[in-house]
Amino acid sequence: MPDPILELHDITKRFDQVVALAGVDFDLFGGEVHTVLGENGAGKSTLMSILSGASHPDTGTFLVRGEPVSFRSPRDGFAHGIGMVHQHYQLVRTLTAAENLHIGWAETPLLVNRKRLIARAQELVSKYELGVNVSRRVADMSVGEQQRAEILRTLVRGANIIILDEPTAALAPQEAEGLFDVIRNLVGDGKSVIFISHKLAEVMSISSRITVLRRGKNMGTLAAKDADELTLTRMMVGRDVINRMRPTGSARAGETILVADDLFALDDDGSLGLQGASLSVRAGEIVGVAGVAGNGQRELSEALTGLRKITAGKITIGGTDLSNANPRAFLAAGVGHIPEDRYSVGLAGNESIETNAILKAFERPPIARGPFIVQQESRRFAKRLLEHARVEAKSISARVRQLSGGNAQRLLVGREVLNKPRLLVACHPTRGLDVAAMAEVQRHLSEARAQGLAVLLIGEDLDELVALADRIVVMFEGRIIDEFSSANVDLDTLGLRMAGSLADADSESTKAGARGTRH
Amino acid sequence: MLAGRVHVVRRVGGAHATVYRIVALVLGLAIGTALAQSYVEGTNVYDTIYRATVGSAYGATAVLAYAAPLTLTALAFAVCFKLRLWNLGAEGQLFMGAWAATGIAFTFPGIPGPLLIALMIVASAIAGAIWVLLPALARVYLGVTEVVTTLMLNFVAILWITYFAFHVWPAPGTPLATTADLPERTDLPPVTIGGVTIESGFIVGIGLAIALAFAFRTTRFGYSVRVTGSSARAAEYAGIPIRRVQMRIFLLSGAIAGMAGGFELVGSLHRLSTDLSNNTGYNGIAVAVLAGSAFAVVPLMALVFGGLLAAGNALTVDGLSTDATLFLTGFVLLLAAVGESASRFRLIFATSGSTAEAVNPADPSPPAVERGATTTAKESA
Amino acid sequence: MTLFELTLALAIASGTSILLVGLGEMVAEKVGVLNIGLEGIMLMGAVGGFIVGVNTGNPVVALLAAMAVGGCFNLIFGTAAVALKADQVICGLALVFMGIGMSGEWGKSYTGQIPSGTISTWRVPGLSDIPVLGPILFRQEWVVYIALCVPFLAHFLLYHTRHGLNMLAIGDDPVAADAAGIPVVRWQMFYVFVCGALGGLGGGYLSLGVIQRWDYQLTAGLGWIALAIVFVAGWRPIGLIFAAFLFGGLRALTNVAQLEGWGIPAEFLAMLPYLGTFLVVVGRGVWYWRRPGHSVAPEALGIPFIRS
Repeated sequence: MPDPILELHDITKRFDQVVALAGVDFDLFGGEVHTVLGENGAGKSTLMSILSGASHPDTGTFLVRGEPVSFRSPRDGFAHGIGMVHQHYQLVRTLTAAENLHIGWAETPLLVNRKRLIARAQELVSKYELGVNVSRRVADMSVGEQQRAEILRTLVRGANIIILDEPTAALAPQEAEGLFDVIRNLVGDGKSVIFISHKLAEVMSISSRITVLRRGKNMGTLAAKDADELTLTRMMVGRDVINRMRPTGSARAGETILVADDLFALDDDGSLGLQGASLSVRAGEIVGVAGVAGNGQRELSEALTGLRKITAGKITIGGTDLSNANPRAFLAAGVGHIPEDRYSVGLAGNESIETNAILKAFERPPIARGPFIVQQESRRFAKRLLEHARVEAKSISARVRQLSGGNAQRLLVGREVLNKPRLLVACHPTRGLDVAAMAEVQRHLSEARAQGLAVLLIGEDLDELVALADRIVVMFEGRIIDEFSSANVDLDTLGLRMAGSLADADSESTKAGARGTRH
Repeated sequence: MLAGRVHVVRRVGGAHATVYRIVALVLGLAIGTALAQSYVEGTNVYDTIYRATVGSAYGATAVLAYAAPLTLTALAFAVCFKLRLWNLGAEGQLFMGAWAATGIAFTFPGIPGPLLIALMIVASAIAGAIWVLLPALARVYLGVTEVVTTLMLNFVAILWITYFAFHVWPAPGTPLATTADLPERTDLPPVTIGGVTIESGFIVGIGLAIALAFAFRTTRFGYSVRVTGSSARAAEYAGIPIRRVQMRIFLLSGAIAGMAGGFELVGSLHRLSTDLSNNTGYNGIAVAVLAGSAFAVVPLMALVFGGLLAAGNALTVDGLSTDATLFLTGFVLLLAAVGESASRFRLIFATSGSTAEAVNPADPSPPAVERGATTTAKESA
Repeated sequence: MTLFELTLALAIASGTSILLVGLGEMVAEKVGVLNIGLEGIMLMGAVGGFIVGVNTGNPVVALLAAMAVGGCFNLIFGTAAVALKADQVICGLALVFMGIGMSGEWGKSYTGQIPSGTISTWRVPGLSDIPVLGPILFRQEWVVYIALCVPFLAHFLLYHTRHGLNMLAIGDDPVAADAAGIPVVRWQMFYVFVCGALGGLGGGYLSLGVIQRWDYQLTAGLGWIALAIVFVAGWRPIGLIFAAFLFGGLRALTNVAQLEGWGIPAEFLAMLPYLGTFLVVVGRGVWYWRRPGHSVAPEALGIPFIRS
């Protein structure tokens, strides 16, 4: 048996009091796809940052091709052929892909200009069939293309061990399949891939071996053919978890609360984000919006909450025309918003939990009295929120940025629901959360629906959408192109719609692969 | 080089924050004093400093005299800084405030004293607010950097005053750029306790500091300011009218700086001239930074800074020049800025092998570099 | 010299000075560092160059000294703001105080003296004899010609070299640049030095060039105007030339009007450069309002780089 090209023995890493990794062993063979599976907080990212050189273990040995190494920075990792593609892509947005390829690279010629860089980039890229338009600015690219551009950069710089951190987080099923093809090609070329994920289904399809981490420990490494979902789940979580909710009874939907009619809006770069989107939501129902990230979901949620101007179309909430009203008016009309960006939009990270708790309630009694804020009421509200939302925090004066992602989201969702809105716009509310927090948030949404709220749920987890929503609409290129009832939706068809294809799943002719068809 | 080996990482938890600021300040003063001593031979610098500041009634009066306008200009800067807005124009707003007050005094000779003084102060506040109005509008509605605009108006204001002092209200019999003395009824008498004279401006400053601290914490507007300053996007999301908040803060800031001029006029100098301020506006910025922009701490830091200035002044007799004092002022400010940074970040030296991190990368916390979430002076003109 | 020639000479001198300082600031800002301490740097360069000029009589050496002094002085700012991540605006302000103070100290004994060497004028044979235009364009002190060349060099560096590409990356997204392997802090410190050197040269040119004396009022706000022209010129090196000479011209106009006795009070004339800067900066804001994609400021300007 050939020797492993990477070996980690007995790796331990602590951050202040928290033990991120405890005595972890890991190895990688050439030409394999080794997946690291685990819940959030299990230690996957820490392990990866040690492998790539961004971090250093407290104890343990790290061998690359049999030689012990000690990385001081990602550059050292690069020098040994280890390249990492992060979940948050590290490309300079204002530069083109070609330019990004060449920055900080010793092999870039001294004299360059835009055209020459593009030509050079195209040459380098032609080997890899990755479907990236190298002359395009990163800011203008879809998330999928950005990811491919970053993978490209890693490859071109000579990495033969490639670490992919949650790469399918922002991809449609077809694009994910395309990514898997890319991975298979890489492996065919002799490269090795470490794949990080917490999604069981895709892991089973792509891996050679699977290592499961839980709470900083390696729970075991299996060959993919020996693994099944149940075993993996047990290893990941420690018990059988049925984390898929069943829809709670049929929709007892009431009056129509939200009507969005033919909305047009620009996105941040000035191009058309919404191109005639129309939908409606009734009280007591959850409408799920499925779609690949970057098809106008963000613009839609912002338009429906006053954070973005629409250039045409009409928004009616409870009968009142709120097109282009400011956020204050939307708030007053009873619109709650769980934004995609929980730390920079939904919460003020540097402020206390109390300050954040009363964010939507500080202008009304009982918290407000005249020009003042009644401290007692404010504290009471915050404490009630913490209890209701089951947020684990030491006190209400702790800063929100110190909360874990799951807790912060519980706070956010709890707050929005506690304010008893008529319409709740939720954008990716369970993204990046661990199982417990996810279940919590889903519970809130279900309860909201039971209490007669109208809920618009924008998400990427199709299972979640199908389980929670009554109706599912598909968003593509700024428009709603189809609608399904969640009771009898076919996931494959849904996937096709998300990629823009109007064909049916059993039709042979559609092969809308992720090889850059849209972009 | 060292740069590659030193990592700066965000510090979690703010317990040590104030400690670093205080250490920085003390260090700055200590080094400054030591430098002064090495510069001035023959006299014991510490003696002079002691006598010039807390060691005598005269000294204490001098310190308080410096502290009075400093408190106000520092509050003016701090108010804007809560929103990460840079009002560098306190100097100009101070002068325009004084100009307006002078105008009132000369234009309404018939009004009784106390009423006149009150009108003058109000006028100075309004003038200060007007002077910041254009830069504020340009910043809030056009994104034009206030760093440049407020600064430019400082120069304009000084020239404006000079013009009035020479050509419109000149003082007879002197070639200096100053107006005649204001009528006596505009003298705002100071408070004297045990031989130490406290200018009314300082008392007003303390009151204002307390009021601002209180309002910041307990009013709805204060809450809006806090949230907007912390995260503009969260504030927008919450329905807070950001632009209105910004404009109000700018105007409040200008008004306070204007009042600094008004109080200097009625409480101290009693005539309009460029002597009214010796970098008081800019020194106010230093005071605000020393105070960590905390309103309640500002008067205290104004006293410390006033002590610095009084000491520097006294030392000129011993041979220390005003230039050296200016240098030390800058030096203390620099250290204060570094202290502020030390309170928020930690330096980690990467010795061979360890690239330490103080933040757990597995935790989906907000990114350390808040791209675009803060309003910096970089907003294009 | 006729009045016209005098005005022109002053305009060109001021403009050259502003241009040099502005270029320094621009390169610093391109890598994300906002340095408002220009006034202090100019004065340090002016006094340093002046002292060396008086003592050696050699203007070249004096100007080099001005650059060295300015560069080293700005490293103080660099250490605090770039290495130790202190707030850049406040550090810049501190630098102004320190610069005014220190230069005042050093220059005290030199007030009133005249450096014995003068900066030689370059004449382009033949062309410089053309009436009117000749002396303006072809008979200037050599510093002016250098100042005019540097923007083109900067343009070439930024947009046609590998290093320039890396610089742009640093200024727009230092975290990404760092991930790509660029030593961010190292280059930021380097350009802080360059900014200081150019700023010092700009100041040195004032004290050794046309004005030829030391006085702590020497710069009178030129440093702030240089800061403004970087914004006005949209961080483009070539555009900086026009902006710099525009303001230099305004400044000269002030002096001229005073001498000629145009009837406008001296104080209002003196306001011209500052009001002019103010109006242009605001005007640019109005012009670019609602025009998408107008912000050409480096994305990460003023934000200290912290590797997360």
